[in-house]
Amino acid sequence: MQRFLQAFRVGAWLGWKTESNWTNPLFYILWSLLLPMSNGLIMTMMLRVLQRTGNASGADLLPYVFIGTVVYSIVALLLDSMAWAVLEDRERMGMLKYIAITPSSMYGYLWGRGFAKVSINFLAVPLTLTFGALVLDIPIRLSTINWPLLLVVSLLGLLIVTFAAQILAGVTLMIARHAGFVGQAVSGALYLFTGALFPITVLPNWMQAIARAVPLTYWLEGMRRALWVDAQNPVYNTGLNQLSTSNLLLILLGSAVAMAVISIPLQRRAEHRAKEKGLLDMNTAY
Amino acid sequence: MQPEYAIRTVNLQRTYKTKERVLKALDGVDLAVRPGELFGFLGPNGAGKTTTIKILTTLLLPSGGTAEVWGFDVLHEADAVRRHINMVSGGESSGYGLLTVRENLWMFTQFHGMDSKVANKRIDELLEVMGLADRAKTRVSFLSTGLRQKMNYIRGLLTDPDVLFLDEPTLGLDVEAARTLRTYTRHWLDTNPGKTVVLTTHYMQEADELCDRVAIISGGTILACDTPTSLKYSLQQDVVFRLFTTPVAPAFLQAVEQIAGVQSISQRSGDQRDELSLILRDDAILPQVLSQLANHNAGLLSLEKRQPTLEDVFVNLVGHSLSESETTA
Ligand SMILES: Nc1ncnc2c1ncn2[C@@H]1O[C@H](COP(=O)(O)OP(=O)(O)OP(=O)(O)O)[C@@H](O)[C@H]1O
Ligand SMILES: [Mg+2]
Repeated sequence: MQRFLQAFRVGAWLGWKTESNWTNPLFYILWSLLLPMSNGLIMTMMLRVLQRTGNASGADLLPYVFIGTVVYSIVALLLDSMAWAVLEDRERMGMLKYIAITPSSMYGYLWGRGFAKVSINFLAVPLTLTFGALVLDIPIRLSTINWPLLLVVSLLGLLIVTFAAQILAGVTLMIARHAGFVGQAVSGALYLFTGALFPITVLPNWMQAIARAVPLTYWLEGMRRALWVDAQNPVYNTGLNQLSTSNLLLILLGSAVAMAVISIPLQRRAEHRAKEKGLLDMNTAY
Repeated sequence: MQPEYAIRTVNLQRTYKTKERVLKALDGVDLAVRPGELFGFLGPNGAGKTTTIKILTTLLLPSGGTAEVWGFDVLHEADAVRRHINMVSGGESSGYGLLTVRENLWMFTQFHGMDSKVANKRIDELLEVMGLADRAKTRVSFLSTGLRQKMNYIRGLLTDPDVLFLDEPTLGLDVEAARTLRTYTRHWLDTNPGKTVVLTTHYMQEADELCDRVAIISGGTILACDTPTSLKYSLQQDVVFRLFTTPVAPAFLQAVEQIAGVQSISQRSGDQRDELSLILRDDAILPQVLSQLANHNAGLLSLEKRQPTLEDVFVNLVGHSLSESETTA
């Protein structure tokens, strides 16, 4: 545990040092807002256009889409962060081997890098949501937010994504070539399968089945329920309206445990494989 | 507490499987290095030096045999091994470009759980030794390759390891920096009894002057392992000549190798002339060599009998000189 914390501290420190490379706070805030803000705006505009041209079903999906994309932006960042750290340290910096030969914990280090990424970009989420509430009239109000639910769901969700990120880092560690695609491919695919952008009910049945098996689907649903009073209104036909919030929490908790159970031995296995194949000091130089 | 051996390997094997073929990089390496030794690996490209170091630093699993570092098994007790080692490899430009030199170094002390104050003091000392003190606050991305390598060497020493692995540490360094690194490595060993250094190199002189013992490795096997003096002494019964000739053809070398009593001949081509190193069982064989020279229409420019060097030992064992393998590699 002490080794984990030690390495975590170094990873977080390095992440902050190298990724928060701003010179003034204003610039930082603008920069970190850019991604979620532009995502949110693009989706909003697309939706407006669709609603004007297509058949208006009566339900305004804007809050659904807006919350989904903004929250997902942090998922994408965290999900990719550890795989990215492995790749960057190994290929670009040539430092992974020097970290690997220290007595510290590789998990701790990677978690630290992930934590840095999230904490640097975290502020953007509440800021963008506020922007949405004030400018786009998204019905998020301080008085109607379910704060305890928000807290619990956020924590469980971050835990799930962190373990998922660690799995991706493990896979990256075992792959010699094209490892750079792993994180991006997965976060791209999940965009589709988690109902971030549209309710999963619009997907064909077999894709819906996949979406229902992905824990992040429940996380986004949970975040919507916490932030938006009308999230469970049947008119939105999200496919998850029937699920009670307590069951949703149970699913999240179960998923977090399951992800932990999968990811920890997988990381160990990945390190072993990498040592077997001599990949810790790989230099593919694409 | 010191173990009996700083490094001990028994029948160490490593194969690399690629799509095209299976390559035996290490084929039964036995090593026994005592605490306090400066142990050198000398061998041509692809001999297995780096592979050995990777296994000993827990970066690579052996395919067979056993290896212990500071008394711990590299396979089953990797964490314990890591508490006692550090490694520096030369010829690369590693480092976090956005961090300063000091930050890069400090970061690695933290992986070892060193106290920050102690760490910074050591960083200052070593920066001073390597002549990098004025670059402490420079971003690593602004450093030249050689300066990064000096930083890397400091990183290796910073944690005061019991066994320090240096894989061609002077590769790409200028003459003076290389000398500083060698001198300091020796000084560090002399002032810290029990510390052990394993060094690979392509520079004969480095191995000869610096190392307590040298292992000559080729094709994944150790051909000889002894002090530089004893290795040279093994050639004492033989005679070594250096010849300068007009350029000679490969056919001449082949013909000479056929002569009974010729231990080895190696060629270093220069401008308008060749330098040949000749190891003979006996002085009496020399005339036969010279007559071959005439047969192949080459002229003798000068001839000198000399003391065997480590290079001669190498040529005798490996079959060609290190510089030949460099140019053909
Ligand atoms: N990851 C790998 N996959 C396949 N073959 C490898 C790998 N690493 C090394 N080899 C092969 O193993 C052999 C030994 O390589 P090694 O790097 O140990 O040599 P070396 O003695 O350090 O050589 P050099 O003086 O060039 O550094 C070489 O033939 C090399 O091509
Ligand atoms: Mg090598």
